[in-house]
Amino acid sequence: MKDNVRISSYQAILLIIAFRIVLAFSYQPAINAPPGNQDNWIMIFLSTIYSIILCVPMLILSNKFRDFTLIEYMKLIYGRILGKIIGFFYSMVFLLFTIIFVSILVEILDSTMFPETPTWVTASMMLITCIYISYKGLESIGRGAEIFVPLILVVIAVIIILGINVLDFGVFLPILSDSSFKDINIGAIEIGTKFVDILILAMLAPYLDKRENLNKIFIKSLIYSILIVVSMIIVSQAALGIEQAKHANFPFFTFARLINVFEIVHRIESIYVVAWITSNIGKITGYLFFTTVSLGQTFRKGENKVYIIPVSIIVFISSVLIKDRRSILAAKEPLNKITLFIALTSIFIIPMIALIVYFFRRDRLKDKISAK
Amino acid sequence: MISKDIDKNKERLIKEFNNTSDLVAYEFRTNSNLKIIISYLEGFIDKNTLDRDVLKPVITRLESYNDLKKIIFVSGIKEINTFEEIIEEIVSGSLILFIQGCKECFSIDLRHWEKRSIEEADSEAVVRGPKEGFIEDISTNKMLLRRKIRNPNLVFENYILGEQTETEISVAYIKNIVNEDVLDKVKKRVQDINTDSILESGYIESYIEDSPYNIVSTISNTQKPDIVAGKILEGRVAIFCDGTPHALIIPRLFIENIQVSEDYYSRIYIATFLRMLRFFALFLGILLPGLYVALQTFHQEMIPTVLLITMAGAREGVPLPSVLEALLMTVMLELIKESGVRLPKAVGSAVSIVGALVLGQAAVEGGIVSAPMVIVIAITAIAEFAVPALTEVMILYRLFLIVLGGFMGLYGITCGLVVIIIGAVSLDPFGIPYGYPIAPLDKTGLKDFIIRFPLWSMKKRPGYLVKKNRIRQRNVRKK
Amino acid sequence: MKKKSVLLIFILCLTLIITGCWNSRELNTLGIATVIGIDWEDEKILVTIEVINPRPVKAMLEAKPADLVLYVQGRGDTIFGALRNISLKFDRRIFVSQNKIFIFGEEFVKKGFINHIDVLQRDHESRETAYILVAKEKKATDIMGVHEAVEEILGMYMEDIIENKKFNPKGVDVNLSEYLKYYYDSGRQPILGVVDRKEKNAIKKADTHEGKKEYELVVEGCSIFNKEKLSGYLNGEETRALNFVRNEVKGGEIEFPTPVKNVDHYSTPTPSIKDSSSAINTPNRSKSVLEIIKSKTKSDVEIKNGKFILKTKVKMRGMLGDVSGDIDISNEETIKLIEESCSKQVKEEIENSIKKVQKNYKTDVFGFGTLVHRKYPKEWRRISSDWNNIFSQADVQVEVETNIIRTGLVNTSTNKIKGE
Repeated sequence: MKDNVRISSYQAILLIIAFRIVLAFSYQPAINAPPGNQDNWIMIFLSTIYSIILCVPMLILSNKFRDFTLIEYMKLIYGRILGKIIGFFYSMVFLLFTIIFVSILVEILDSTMFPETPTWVTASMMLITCIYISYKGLESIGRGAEIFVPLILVVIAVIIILGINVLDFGVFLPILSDSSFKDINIGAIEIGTKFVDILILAMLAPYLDKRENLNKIFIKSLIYSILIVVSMIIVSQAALGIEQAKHANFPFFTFARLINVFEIVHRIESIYVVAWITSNIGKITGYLFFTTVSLGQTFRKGENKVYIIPVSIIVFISSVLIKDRRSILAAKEPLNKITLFIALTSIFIIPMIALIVYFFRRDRLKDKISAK
Repeated sequence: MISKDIDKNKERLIKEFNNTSDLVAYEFRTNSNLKIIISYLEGFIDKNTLDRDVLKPVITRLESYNDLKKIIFVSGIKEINTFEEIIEEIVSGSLILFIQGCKECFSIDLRHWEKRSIEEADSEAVVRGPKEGFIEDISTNKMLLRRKIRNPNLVFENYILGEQTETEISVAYIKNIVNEDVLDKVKKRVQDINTDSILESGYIESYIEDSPYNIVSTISNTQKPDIVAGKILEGRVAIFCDGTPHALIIPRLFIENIQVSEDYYSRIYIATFLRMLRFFALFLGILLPGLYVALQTFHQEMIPTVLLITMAGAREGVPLPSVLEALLMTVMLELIKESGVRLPKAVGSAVSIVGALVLGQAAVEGGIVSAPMVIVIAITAIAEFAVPALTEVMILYRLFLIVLGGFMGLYGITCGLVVIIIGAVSLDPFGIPYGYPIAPLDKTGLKDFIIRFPLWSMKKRPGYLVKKNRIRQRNVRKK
Repeated sequence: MKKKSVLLIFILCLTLIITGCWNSRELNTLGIATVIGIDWEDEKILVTIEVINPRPVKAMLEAKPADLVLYVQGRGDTIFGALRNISLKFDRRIFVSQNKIFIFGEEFVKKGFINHIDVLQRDHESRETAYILVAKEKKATDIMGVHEAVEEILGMYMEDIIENKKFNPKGVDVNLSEYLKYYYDSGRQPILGVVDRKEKNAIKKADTHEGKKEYELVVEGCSIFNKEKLSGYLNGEETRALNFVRNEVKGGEIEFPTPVKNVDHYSTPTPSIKDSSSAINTPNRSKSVLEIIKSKTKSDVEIKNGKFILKTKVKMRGMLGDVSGDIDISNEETIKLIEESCSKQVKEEIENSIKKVQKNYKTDVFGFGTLVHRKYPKEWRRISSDWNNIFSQADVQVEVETNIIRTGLVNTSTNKIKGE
């Protein structure tokens, strides 16, 4: 990637928000997380605290190494060979998430819009779009976010406003009486660890035009996205009832199907689907792009553009293979476990160790930082 | 070097011009018996002035060549002494005067040729605002611009391009406002042009533009001096080309396509409304047929029941699939437009009658196409005319989205739209982001986006374009 | 490299487009369903679908109502199977996204319909917003095919009359999603709308065929459930009371006996409040009508000495729509009397309705359980499984308050001469 690429804080915040809300937009794991009743929104608010705690080591590192991406400073801290392994690990994490997102996308598309279309068609359509955007580079991704993310947020807001007459906020009563403190905390930890998008932020950090704003960007994007996610979850639960929302695979989608205003505005869930596809394109592109960037930086060979086509072919093949065998949403349990494990190691454990190593090798590393 | 023997010079000149018949080499003697030859290209000079102000004094009063400037009542006299210069002067319309026994010759500027008078620009008609348009003559065009901006900071830099055509090009900008990066890039790219001919400013455009393979054009052209003045006052660079009334303006950002000069001359509310309308028309023109196909073949649940029943009724017995129907109709529409444009007006109306009858009525009544499709295509055509700057782009994108919409419904359209928009915002024509002021966001630019703020509130010039001297005005309407 | 990859992508795009459109369905291959009737017949599920028979606009205007729709049927062990089996008989693919109404035959409802309707929620084409009606003591096929409305297509006019609930709360508008919401809620039992076919009083119209019975459809009343079990039906007035308790009355009218006490403010002093109660109690056949403008209900529960008390407080604002009887309403006190009479009427209706449900059906369709859950979450955990029994033994307290805010264009009822 070229060094003169710059993206603004605003663009970075929008990107992270978009990445964060995709999950809530599609299958809303938080609705089924413990405590799994009317207190889930409190649990989600609580999860921000856990997210912040988990992300602290990585944030400290990114602030210390302002000119370096995650991969680059891991290399500096861990040395060449171990650094390369860790860089490769992170690339694989990005790749894995890309594959998971493509699979989920294809699954939702096939079950809501195109039941008869083969998996490879929907998947390749998405990947072609993502490849195109990836070729255009980070700056275009940032600018695209500036156009699409506000539109997506407007669509969410419009859907919520239009659906206001099917909402029954009574379902949230009684507050905090059916769930124990323990349940809420377990759920909050589970949701808190889902903030893998900090990895993207750590990759973005050196390309920000104001690098000192990193913490501000982190906090802002976290809070805004949590607000949006909570409002979406509250709305789905209020419209469908607690139990039916748990039954639904895509609760917000089901909510959007209920909207009917004056017999004119109804059956607008396709607009929801459009916004949702757009946000998914953004997320998949982001992860695909950073897979290639981290591969490029791990092996120090060529620009990231070289890796785009091979990586997307891998993504394509594996997601089609997965999708033609299993429904990925039906297999929520193992998927959740895998992602939880990977998220924990990549967000918390490796950076934590890196932070400790950094404190012991502080002086030598400082020379290297200033050398750049 | 020219020789003292003017007969030799004459021979050489005729040889250089390959015996062309429009080269005049007129030989005569003055009263003091000096032999003189004047040479020029037929039709390039003002013969009245030549006879009255050059020939008459020269013949009657010239005694030695030193007196020449004293007796000729013409302002542009130059002494030159190489044949390269002579040729250059002659092709640019000057008169060359050789005097027997003189090592130099004189170039007298008597340029005058037939040109179109200044008329209303036919492709950019306005209701309010100046009507005058550029003409084919570059010096008139420069004069028109200079009349708008009476300021020494307005600079024209001339270049001669084209091995064969030797066309005069002029880069115009305002010294203390222009974005230096853009100016440097433009100058460099103009100087780098190495071609045999420049016949229209479109040639220059294709040599200097940033992303030649992108569908979106990043250089705009106009026939109107007030538009050029407005643009270069925002830090842009204009290029005039001799022989065409179309001046180029660099760079062209997306937002300029929905801005119209009249927006600034009319009141803000109507200007804002019209901009929204144009924006809407842009979306209709690109999206509508694709969306219609997608809804009709994939998302029937989105159509209100009553409308769906009507549409289903209209589609009964139509043989083609909706995608092909839409493609066919779009192509037919473009065909009618294209065949009508270059025809004489009388025949043109006949074409539109045939088109309307054949396409509109017979096709529907014969059951070849469904009536709603005709309506959709008609709306698209009208929308297309509302945003003339983007017509070409809209046609291509429309076809693209029809195919995608017919293939994958709204999913295809979403992907297509993302590709289109990313393709556009990724452009950086001459270092200025194409999507300015929304991608990247800039608050000063937003005042002149879809909502046009009052002129007095646009205190600063647009951010990414103008780097220095950003204050446009201060302290107005503030008490 | 770049050129090759561009070529690759181009070829991929091309193959995608050439290999065809899997899910594209032209409108003229679809059979647009507007009503789906589901019955239980000979141990199989019988699905009857009203399909629109599309014609060009001109032909549509001239067509007879009966020609605009077709009825197709399919049998199967599941609804999905039955729907698919239709393709063996009918040339177009059934498209259920525009479906407005599900009509369930009574037998189907009684035989555990909740086991069969999963497909209506799972299938992406089917809509959760379609209203569900139970064909009272009939089969769905008895209901379908009756055309007695301006709108020719059954689905469209059924939808309209269900939505007329906002003018007349004697019916309910429950869709699939709402039904399921209450089905999952242990504090509130589901209800569904009811449709009945009734014989019309014979009207001699010029073009009526002699001897042929004329039918009309009525969506008055509702059916109440205990989970998926059909407990019984409520009539129109009881349904209105139910709607009052559930705070779903948006409009409608209340007929109540006109108070008889002749109030003439020219001569007699205004009656005391004591008198008024006796005045209302006097039997009287003349009735007045209040048109509801706004109504708001607040329900509450209370535990007293281990016994539950169900409280409902209705506040209505309305306009006098019709007054008959010997009464002059241009008097503040009279209006009070009328208001009280109206409140009493509604109060009785609600009490009777709750008592009937408590006694006969033992299912809490009013949603008091939800209130218990909110107010006494600890107790609720203990009693929630037994709530319906507790509900049926609970005491009921109803309060109704009426405010007449408009009295129309005349001040004295038509049959009374002023000053007499």
